Amino acid sequence: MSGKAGSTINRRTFLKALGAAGIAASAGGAILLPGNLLVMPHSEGFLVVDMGKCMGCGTCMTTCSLTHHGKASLSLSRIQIEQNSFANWPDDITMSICRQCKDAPCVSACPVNANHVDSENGMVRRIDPDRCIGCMQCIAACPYLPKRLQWDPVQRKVQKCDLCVDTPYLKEKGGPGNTQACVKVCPVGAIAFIDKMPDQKSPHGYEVNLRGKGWEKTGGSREDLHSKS
Amino acid sequence: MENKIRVSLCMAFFFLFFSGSAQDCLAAVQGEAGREVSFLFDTLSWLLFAAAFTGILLGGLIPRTDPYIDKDRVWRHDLSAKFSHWTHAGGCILLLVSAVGLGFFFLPRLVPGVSGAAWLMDLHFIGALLFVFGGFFWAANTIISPYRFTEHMPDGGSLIEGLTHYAHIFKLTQKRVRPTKYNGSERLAFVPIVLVAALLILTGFIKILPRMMDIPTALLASSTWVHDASALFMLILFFFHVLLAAVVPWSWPLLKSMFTGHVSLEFAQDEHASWVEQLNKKDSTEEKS
Amino acid sequence: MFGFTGKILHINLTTGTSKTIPTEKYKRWGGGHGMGSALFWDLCEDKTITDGRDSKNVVCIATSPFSGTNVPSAGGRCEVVGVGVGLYPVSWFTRSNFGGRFSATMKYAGWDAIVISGKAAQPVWLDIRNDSVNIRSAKDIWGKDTKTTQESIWQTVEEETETIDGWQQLPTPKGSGYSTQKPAVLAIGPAGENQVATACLVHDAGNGAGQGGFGAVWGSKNLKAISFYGTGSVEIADPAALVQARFDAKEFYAGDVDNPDASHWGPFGKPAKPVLFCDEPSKKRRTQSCQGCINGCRGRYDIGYGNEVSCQETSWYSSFAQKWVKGDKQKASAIIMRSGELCNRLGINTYPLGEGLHWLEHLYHEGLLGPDKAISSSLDWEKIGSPEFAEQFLQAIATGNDIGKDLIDGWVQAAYKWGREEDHKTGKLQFPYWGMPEHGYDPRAELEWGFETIMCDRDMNSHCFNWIFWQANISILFGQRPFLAADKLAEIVTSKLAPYVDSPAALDYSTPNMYSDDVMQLTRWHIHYSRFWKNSTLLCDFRWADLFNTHTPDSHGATGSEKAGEHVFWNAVTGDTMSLADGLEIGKQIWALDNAIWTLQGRHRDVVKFADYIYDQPFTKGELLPFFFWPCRDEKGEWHYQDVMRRSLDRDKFEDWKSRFYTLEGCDPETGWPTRTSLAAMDLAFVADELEKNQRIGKEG
Repeated sequence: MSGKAGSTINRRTFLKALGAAGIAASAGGAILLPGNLLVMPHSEGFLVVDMGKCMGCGTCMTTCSLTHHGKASLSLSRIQIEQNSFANWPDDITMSICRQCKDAPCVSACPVNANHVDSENGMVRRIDPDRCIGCMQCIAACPYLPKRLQWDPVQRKVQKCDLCVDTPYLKEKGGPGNTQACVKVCPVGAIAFIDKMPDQKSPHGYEVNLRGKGWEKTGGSREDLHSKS
Repeated sequence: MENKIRVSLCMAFFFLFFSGSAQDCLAAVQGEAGREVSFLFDTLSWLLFAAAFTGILLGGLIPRTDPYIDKDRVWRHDLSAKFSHWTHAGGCILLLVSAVGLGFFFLPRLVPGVSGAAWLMDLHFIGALLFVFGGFFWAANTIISPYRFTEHMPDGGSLIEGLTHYAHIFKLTQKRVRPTKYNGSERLAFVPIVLVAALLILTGFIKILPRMMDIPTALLASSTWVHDASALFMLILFFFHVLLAAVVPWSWPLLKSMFTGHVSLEFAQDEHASWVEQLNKKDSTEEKS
Repeated sequence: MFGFTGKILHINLTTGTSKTIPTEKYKRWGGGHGMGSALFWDLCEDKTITDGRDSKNVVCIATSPFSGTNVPSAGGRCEVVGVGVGLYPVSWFTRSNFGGRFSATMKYAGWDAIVISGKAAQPVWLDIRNDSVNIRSAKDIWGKDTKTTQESIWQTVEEETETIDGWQQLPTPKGSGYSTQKPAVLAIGPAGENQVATACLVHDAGNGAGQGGFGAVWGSKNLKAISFYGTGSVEIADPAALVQARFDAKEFYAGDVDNPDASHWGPFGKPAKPVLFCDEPSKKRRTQSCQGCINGCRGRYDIGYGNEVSCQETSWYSSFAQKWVKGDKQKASAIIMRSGELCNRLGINTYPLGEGLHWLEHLYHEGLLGPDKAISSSLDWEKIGSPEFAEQFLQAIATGNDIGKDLIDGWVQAAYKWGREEDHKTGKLQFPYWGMPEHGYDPRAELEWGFETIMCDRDMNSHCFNWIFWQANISILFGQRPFLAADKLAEIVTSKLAPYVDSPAALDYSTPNMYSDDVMQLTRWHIHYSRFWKNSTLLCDFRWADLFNTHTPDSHGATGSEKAGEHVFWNAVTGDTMSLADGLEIGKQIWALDNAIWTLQGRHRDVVKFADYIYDQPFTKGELLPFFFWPCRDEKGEWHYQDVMRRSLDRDKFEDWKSRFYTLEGCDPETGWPTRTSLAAMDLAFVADELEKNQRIGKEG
């Protein structure tokens, strides 16, 4: 008694078929190769914050999470205001906001094009949650600490500031050129939307002086926090 | 029959093509700037296509030995069967463990940070390599020898047979069933396992595609959902498979056979009476011819 | 369950155990005070105790559905309830309230409230990180001030928490959560450790649960601090409506710091600015606020002191310091801000210090107090007003040494100990109600303040109507015509008080109208409003109720409005369909439950009375200003701002007022005890059962 393969084809047939399929696949490959390299255009909008004016109320944070997620949360906020109530002004509050970087490393790091430059919305760098695979590589790629991208443990996806493009709980239209919830809600006008790219090299590039004459009338100083040098 | 072979081999080269060009495509579409952590899924994604290709190639090329009776032993699994089973098993374990660690549906992610994600994603990748290889190896075998498929598929009597089999084990009936190579419950379980595995592999490959080409978000999102749902099913099926095929004492001879390749003739006659009859008949036919 | 997390944490310090109570049963109370009272009712086994330092006392720190959200001037408030310390004649079941980010963080950690019962054998602190609860030894932080304590806990938690990518990583049942924030810590200082009656709970630099003596309660339980750290969210029923209402609140009602309007009237519309009773110590500051505030009221400075010191913390030593530096406002400011900060660090409630120190100074000048005097004190009383004296004095209060020794049980108690009960009766010690100091708004002038305080448990500290005093009197002080005429103001304000008030007469505080049903109904509205909307949903007292607001065309405030009214926020957060008045009905039930607790503690209407001087002496010396103008009608029924000083309360008329009040609240007017019928009508039959068991149920009318 001998064990023989029970197949009904012979080797020759198999190898013939293999060759034919190989030629077909190679021909198709040339068509499928994407040829255009990605050149990343600058974002058409940026958020800047006056760290001397901010009240530390965190309303920007909860409103951010509300407009995007429908939940009130600090951990899910795309703008992070950190404070130490015992420290001296202005260092008692620090702010971590997405800089909509030039050649954004987080966009480059995304393996599946979920984190992308949105050409329909002012070139804002944003993450499509339907594409995000939760690998967190964009977080690793962000050059700033704390990282400007947030992990959503419930959805197991990464999120970042989209200048309010995708805000299901904002009644008005969001995005560059439209409403940013944090700018609109800030009680003291300490956050501004600008369309000119801030200084990328300065550590204070995204800080701005928004204290006007009214501020002075209430007793505060209008001095710049950091010299331009 | 030759058409079927052509289809399977076209598939093999399809994957071969992707394995070759995946790396170039990745760099072209996304670039590498800024990435501090790299995942095997990104750097070696071509290997998954190569695994599929190799699976089909080897599955088609390696000769198989059908079961036969040799004295008091029934040779149930040949080397290919064992190889296929254990690559599936190993891959499945790695995939499920890493999937649970990474979290899906209502299961939370159990590891923190990108380093934890990277570790489990890489584990998932290795699991996927094994599973994809095993899956396509099996598929090639099945395409070439379709009877392997039909003998595992449930028929009209499988449900009654499966129920009676377990009723007997739990001493609810004296009646014995006379199964063929696979008893009723094994045949019944075959369908969901094949379906779920196929869905996992298919959607898994779709999830790899955006690393190389622009695919529609809806396709990606729905694939992710189907992948997660299939994974949940696989988790449940895996649990019951291990329970019924390895944990309960009456399955121990079969578990052993997955290493040795054979079961005792006594066991086969007891548990797979019709199969032994078939094998005896086949032997005598072959001898006659 | 929208707005709530669904879980309440109960810590038994005696057994060192914790358990989770579902919030569902307590939802009807809204949160905060109501929830706390109900938890106290269920968990305090002996409700006859009258000293909060009794180990049987149960203290509850409760959030509301608004906590952790962007509801304007609500998201960061937190309520504390339990039996107090240092009140007079006994310490009632009482409340206190503080801001910052503690309640929000508690919610993010997944808890609606924390209840503390029993007493720890050794000093402990509670370390709560999301679902993880640990009772830890406070050996290393006992004796430390509130700043050092909080910084030490921040450091401990930070060191024990993994930092990933600049974010602290905390385990949660749903996977790792991340935060850039610091843990929110509520702590006692040395004053609380020494169980001083005026000890408070302090959170961050300047949030204090001051009144009620809860610092002493914690000290008696060996509880040094509670730290919450959370990475979760508050689920919101209608997020879009909430965001829109918050936008509308800013657009239509809030003050604009970039265009401040000096002539503005109304609390909600004030621009962000530190509220100080001295000059600002530096222009280089921010206005700092509690979480979710529409416009902050405190500052943080570049000078190394004075962070978050505001309002009463800058008032208690103000006149002494001004005198000491002979009018140099900047020097005075430095002394005042530093002494205010020291109070926060030592964990001392500053309220009694102002009135109290004036009294002690009087005793010193009378030769009754000092080294080798009847009331012995070796503090340098000649240097009162100096920074050195403030330091000596506050250390003595906090440690219970020198003059602080006799003040441990309370200020009125000390007066009786020293044989100075006359000072309490004559008003030399201006503590008119429940052993608490006058707030600057004497009950003989600002009627609702006094009436409410005496019908409750402590200085009411609820400024809804009090803004009228400030707006009108500051205008008059600067010789300006009040921005809103008295008749217009009365009409606007009373239009918000339905269904209690149907006539502008409710705001007429003139002597003939003092005890009227109208003023009583305004008082009842305010008790119920405060009990629910302020103390339970935790809207900040300093911004709510917004009855009048000159940013709007008709000068009507946000309160009750369909754009940004209290109920709009409540419904958006919880998904309910409540009206402002529905909230008042819950407020009524909360007062009824509180009154039942006071009844079990031994309250009878006979003890519900002011210090004698309120009846026996006319109000002649204003605490803040030399006059006290209020909207009043003259004999012809014409409205004017009229000075309501130089009058006293009439005992008999006030006793009659009480009878009518008790009747309206469903209590037996003879005793002030709740009746079964009224309790049952409020779905509080279980309260009636307990009162009946203790033979303290009111007779049916």
